Amino acid sequence: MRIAGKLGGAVVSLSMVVVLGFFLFRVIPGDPVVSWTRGRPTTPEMQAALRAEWGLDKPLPQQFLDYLGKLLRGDMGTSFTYSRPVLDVISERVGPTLLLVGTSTLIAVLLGLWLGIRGAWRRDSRFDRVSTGVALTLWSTPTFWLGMLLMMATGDLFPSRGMRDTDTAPGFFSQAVDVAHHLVLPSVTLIAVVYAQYQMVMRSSLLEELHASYLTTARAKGLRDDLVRRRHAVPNALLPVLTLVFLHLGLVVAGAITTETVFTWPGLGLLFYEALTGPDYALLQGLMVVTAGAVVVMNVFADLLYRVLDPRVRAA
Amino acid sequence: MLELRDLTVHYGSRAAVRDVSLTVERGQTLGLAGESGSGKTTLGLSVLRLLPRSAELSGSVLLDGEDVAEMSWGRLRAVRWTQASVVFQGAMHALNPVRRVGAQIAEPMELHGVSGSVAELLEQVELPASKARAYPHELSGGQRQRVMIAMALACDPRLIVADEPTTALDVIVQAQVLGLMRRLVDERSLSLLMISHDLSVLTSTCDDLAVMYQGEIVERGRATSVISSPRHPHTAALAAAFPTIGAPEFRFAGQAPVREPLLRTEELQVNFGPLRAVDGVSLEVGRGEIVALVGESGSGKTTLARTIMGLQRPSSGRVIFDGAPIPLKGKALKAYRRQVQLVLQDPTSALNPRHSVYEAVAEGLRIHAIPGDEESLVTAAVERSELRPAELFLPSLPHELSGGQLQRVVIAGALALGPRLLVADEPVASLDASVRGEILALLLRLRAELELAALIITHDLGLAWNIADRVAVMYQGRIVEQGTVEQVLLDPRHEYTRKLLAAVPSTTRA
Amino acid sequence: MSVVWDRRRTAWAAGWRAFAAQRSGVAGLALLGLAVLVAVLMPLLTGADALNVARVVAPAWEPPGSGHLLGTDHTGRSVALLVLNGTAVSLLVGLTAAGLSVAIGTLIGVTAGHFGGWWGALLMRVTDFFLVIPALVLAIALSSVLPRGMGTIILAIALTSWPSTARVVRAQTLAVEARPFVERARALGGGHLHVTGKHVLPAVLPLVLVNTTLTVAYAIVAESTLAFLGLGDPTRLSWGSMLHQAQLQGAVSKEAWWFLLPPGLGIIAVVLAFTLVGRALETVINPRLRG
Repeated sequence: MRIAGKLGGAVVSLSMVVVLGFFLFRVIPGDPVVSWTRGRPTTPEMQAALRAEWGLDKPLPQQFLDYLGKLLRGDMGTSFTYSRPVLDVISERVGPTLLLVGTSTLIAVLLGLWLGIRGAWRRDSRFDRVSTGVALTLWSTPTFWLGMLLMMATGDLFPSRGMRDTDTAPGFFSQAVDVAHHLVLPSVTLIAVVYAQYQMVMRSSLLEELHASYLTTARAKGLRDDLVRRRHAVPNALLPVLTLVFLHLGLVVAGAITTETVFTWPGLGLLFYEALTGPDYALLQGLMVVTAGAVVVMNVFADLLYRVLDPRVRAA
Repeated sequence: MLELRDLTVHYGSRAAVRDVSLTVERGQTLGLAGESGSGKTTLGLSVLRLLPRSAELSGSVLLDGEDVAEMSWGRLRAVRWTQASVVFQGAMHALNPVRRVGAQIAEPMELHGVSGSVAELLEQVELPASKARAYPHELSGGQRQRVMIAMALACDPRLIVADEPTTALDVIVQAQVLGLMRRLVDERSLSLLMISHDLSVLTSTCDDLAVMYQGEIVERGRATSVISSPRHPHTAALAAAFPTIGAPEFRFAGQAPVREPLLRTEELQVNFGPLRAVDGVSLEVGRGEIVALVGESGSGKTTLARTIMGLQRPSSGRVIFDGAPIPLKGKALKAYRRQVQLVLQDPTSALNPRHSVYEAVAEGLRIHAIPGDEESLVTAAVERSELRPAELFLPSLPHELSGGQLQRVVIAGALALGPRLLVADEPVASLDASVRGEILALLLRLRAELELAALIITHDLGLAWNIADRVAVMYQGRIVEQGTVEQVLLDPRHEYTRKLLAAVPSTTRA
Repeated sequence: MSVVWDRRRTAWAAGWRAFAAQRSGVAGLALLGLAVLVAVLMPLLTGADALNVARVVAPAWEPPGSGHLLGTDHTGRSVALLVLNGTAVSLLVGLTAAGLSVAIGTLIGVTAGHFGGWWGALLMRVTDFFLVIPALVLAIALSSVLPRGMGTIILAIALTSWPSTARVVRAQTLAVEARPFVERARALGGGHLHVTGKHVLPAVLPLVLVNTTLTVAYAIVAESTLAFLGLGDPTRLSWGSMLHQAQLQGAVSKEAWWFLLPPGLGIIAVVLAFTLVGRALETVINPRLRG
């Protein structure tokens, strides 16, 4: 029953993404043709032709319905820069981004949770102070700047452009090694900027949990300190953190845009940058709808996962 | 079994427990009574060295002749739960919310290598074995407390420390849990150290009684003799807070006034979705009359009170005040609220911690823009509720005052508007036993001086006996019985009222 | 009521003592003071010609040392002067965007928490939606369709970063409204204005203050990111726009670390300072966080 409600909510959220895409790129700019052709030599006749082609001479509600109908058929318009359907351009770039964001998030979450747990348990120890300080500093660092710095500092140690070299021998293994080699710098950058928030959230969640009286019960039973932590405190503290991991996915996406730009990693983030320099509005619109939609869907998964893991929510 | 020698526990410079020497013999049951802050919980935790790190302990805690304070961590862990176990207060928080209770009961057995079965333990505490698969939030308060007891028995310890094991339970459930504990202690000839603020609970379970006051043991002896002839004034005050129903010395209310109707509800009904919280209630409060509305948690009594205050809309039925139905919104409702004032259970949370006493009392005056000199009106109201001299209290913030003083501030805030009816929701339930009598006396005096009527909502039948003129018993949204105090409490007609009365732990029990 | 004022003064003094007890918070505050000083004074101290590309005579890409403390950029301007003068825009954008964002968040949070019902549910639905959507992606979209300029950047950041404030404020509003003293105020006859004004807002404000400092930190990083992506105000100098230039002019391949390091360190210093102050304030408000 409540799961159905959640799914309904997700559908509402997705429709809001779609509406937002329309609103941002058709309504706010006033006359999209003026902004979409900004910086390109156009004549009034060409603009009128474009207007007719995009259906901008129709009333706004009609435009919205057209936009919606096309979207449902998977038509997000045509990219200026690539002269190809937006959806095709986007789908080519999904793989590299998934690889980069996936590896980085996984490592960042594990690292952040481990540091957070250790820090909270030995609160105010040297370990806690140093790791918190490092985390806060990295959290304050602009991703792209860190990337540029890393690139400069490591020199020729790691490749800093693209995802693979053209001269790599064919065959799965050598290709994989090459990609992994290229992955090092971008993922280190992304991890460094992202892990801190997981650490801070985990740390404060566990600190909060350490006041709980069931931990006194556990100690009274004769449990060793590390068992009290592993069996009782951490599982409870972990639950709220899990949803936050997914909620912060938006920040990872933001980090990916600049990281991919710095390292010319051929994913969605770099595509964002290319669309901006165009500016290629059809592509930007598509990218916004796709990334926002993906994050919304991920959060629904997070919610369902939480429902499975926490018996209190499951029953409610 | 357990011997405390000159035990002193400091938190920083403050001594929570001072020079306490106490013994619990094998098979003995000892009740430790005291108000909040008397150090009784600290003492209980020190038995298994469970105090927080900030606590400094001196003296010795001998468990079966061995000093707990001197044990190595390994030895201490081995002793915990096998020689002594603890039933903590508030089982909701003392159980891990995300693990099944069966696993939590089994945990100490695995840990200490004791054989035994969870199902058997659950059977002992009269729970079906299937409850082992439940999570704490799926159980009722009484069931959770039974789980705590089953867990405490898991490693067959010789001593059980029970810290407020039945606080926050309803009377009938409390009686069942206490009965269970009594039976288990007898059957297994356990030693029991039971800690509570409630003397009646302790005397109904324990043979011996020790009274703690400001960190020291002020009185100790057989339970019956401590109650019947207390030597320390604090013990006497504690005992007075748990009245014997029917005993004239506990009846403070004078002659009931001649009935003149002030407030009347007609077939009042309040629904929350499919749930019927208040189900056709007709109740009357006369001018200057004190009516006690008695019921367990979930009986709908608080919803009824909120509806009378106009804080909750009735689904059907009416509330008639002074001959006219109460308005449901707008200026008229605001004006009505001058006439009827609310006194809440816990005065520490009923006052905004950022507002001074002056601001709290003046709040109502400002809302209603009462003409006249605000300062003198506030002073008058504060003095009426017997905080004298008022100047001393006006600038204080809530955290600087005691519970009893705060409740007087709440009452002063109500009096400032010159109401004709007070609706008091458990007005003394969260106050220490020794101030309870003072607040009740204040309510009676206000009735005599101002002809102020009161509807007192309580789970405590003793409170009804103390001051009410009439009693209404509420059960599952309905008033099942109402009449004068003597009729209802001494000659109950309804089965539920009888059950309630039977469950009240009495200090006179032999 | 002089008593009340005395009391407020002691409360503030106690709050300050609790804040001052945390060295990192005090360090952050000192750093902020310095940054504000630089932001206000530098434009007055810098000559009109020093940053004018057409009037600069020094060679481009000059490493630190000879004549220029931090070297020169691709046009021969002094990096040290650029960084110091960039402080003002970064701080200004950060502060105004955060102020606007927190104002929106507080308004929505209090309204959603206080009124509840379908109106509150709707507001929360919208908040949750914007909380999940990647804020930077929205900000990028907004600043790409609106005319370039500092106002656009501020608006884009403010309009996309309010949801976290709204959430926190709503939670606190609900917590305060569940307290019996609010029930008492209602029973005394207090209406919406009385309850929100006298009880909810004073309890929420400290939290809002903390959130403001943390939002400023976010806004400064967001400004630099937007500028780096080429969405900044082309007429104004900020740390972000310096880094944008560094990227465009290939500072990395030229190994011109002196052009890259200073603006980045400036961002980190100011953002860290705001974060530290925010965390210290949080500890003052919530004593449970204290050690």
